[in-house]
Amino acid sequence: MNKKVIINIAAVLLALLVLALLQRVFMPKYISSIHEGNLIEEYYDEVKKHDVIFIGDCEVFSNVSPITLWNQYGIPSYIRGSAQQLVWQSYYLLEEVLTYETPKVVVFNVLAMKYNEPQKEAYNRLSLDGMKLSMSKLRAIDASMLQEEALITYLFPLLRYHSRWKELTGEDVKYMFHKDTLSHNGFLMRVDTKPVTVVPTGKKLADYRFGENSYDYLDRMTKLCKDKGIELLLIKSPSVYPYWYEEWDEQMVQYAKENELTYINFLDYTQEMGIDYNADTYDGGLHMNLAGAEKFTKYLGQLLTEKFQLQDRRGEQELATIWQEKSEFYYSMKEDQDRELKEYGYLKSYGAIAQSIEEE
Amino acid sequence: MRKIVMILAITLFFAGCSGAKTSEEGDKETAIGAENETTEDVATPSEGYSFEYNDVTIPMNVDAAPIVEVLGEPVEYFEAASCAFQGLDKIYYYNGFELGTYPNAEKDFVSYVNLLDDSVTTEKGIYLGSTLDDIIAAYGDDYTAEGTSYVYRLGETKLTFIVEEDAVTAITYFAIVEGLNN
Repeated sequence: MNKKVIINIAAVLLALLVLALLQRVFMPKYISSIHEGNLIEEYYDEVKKHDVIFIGDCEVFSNVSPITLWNQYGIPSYIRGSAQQLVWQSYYLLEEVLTYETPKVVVFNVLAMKYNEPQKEAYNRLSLDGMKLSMSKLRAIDASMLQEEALITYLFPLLRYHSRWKELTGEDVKYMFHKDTLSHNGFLMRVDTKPVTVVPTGKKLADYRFGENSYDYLDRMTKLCKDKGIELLLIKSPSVYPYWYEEWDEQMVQYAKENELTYINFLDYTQEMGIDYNADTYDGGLHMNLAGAEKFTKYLGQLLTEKFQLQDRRGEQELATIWQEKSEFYYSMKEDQDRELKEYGYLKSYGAIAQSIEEE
Repeated sequence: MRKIVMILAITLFFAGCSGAKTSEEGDKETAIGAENETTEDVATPSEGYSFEYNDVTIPMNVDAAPIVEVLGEPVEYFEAASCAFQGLDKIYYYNGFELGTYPNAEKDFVSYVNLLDDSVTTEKGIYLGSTLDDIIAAYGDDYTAEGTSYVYRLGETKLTFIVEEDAVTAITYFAIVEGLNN
């Protein structure tokens, strides 16, 4: 090989290396805010032995605590949730999960049925950028892109994020190669409280039927689970906003009946769960705080145990060790959030800035 | 060495020039980075439907703060983390209507006005209880019918009437903004 060829190869490799590093720098890190941007990618570092996988939007990643599910019932679980996760994204995330592991139960939160088409690039990014490259990811991108988006920018995100050069901070360099885990198996913890004062009623709709696209992907999810021998549980999490119409509820009841699935609207069980909307939400009813999430999870865990005969696996040494470590992280974060709340009056490091400014 | 510099320059050029187009309305506060219009670009729509209440004109997709200030203390107020934007969605309830906002950079923009009872009307006199003929007489027949709804579009706004058994049961003004699920 002559010298010229070696130099050319070296030049190309160097260029690729520089681009790869630039991409690392320019990708948003979601450390000081929008923590949910990290949820999808955190899954890959997991020991993938989960009996239950949750998929869906903020109504799962804010409202369900896998640590509680383990500590109370010995059920290992993971939440593959993301902000405004659309039904097709849930489907492809599930498809991807099943290449790693086969849970006994998949729980899908049905709020996303209201969206029949892609909504917003920023939310696509929060769900898709964190996925490892796979056919599932490519199909998810294809199903999610808005008209003005381009596939290439998902494959080479530098093409999308180069405009962040003005916003780069030390955080972008610090977390280039490694980010701290922020969630607890996909659960984003918040211990602060903002009571429900008003429950907005939904605006009258011209058509309450969920769209064909939403149903298509729900059908695929149902089929995928049946083919793999997995129980699919459909839930409506007990968040009071966005408004969940009775007409929507009826469609889910009907769908579950036709497909021999279980659907539970937990808004109907708030009293049994002991949820107090004056104390158990951190943003006026959209998301549960830690107290609310633990109450909901305890109730849900009971149901999972009884209905799907999930075994208590706390006696298994390997899992017990893993979850002991997770519990320690969970309670140390709780302690830290309690401290911040006491010291600053709001959760300074946990994404509560916007609300506190609003309240000042 | 010259080749290496050239290859790097070319790759950086392509990285810099082939950025995807993003949302038209501007995704100002997400961490993904903006390469869009600024808040000011969308602050004053050139044309569109506006709701009028006690001599206060409420256009869609404009800074809500001056409007809310003029309207005075709402009967009720609700806010929650926005599902579509970074910040808070807010709903102000007044006598006869509710005004919704979405966060946009440092400001809140009017996303919709929903009429709640027949004490208020559209600027052309349509109220809850009017008939379809009344609507067409006032707004013409250039509408899109979707089920029971009749939608009129003007600029980046739309005015939606829901008509059931020949009576208007809902009237809502909307800003047309990507990500707002109207």
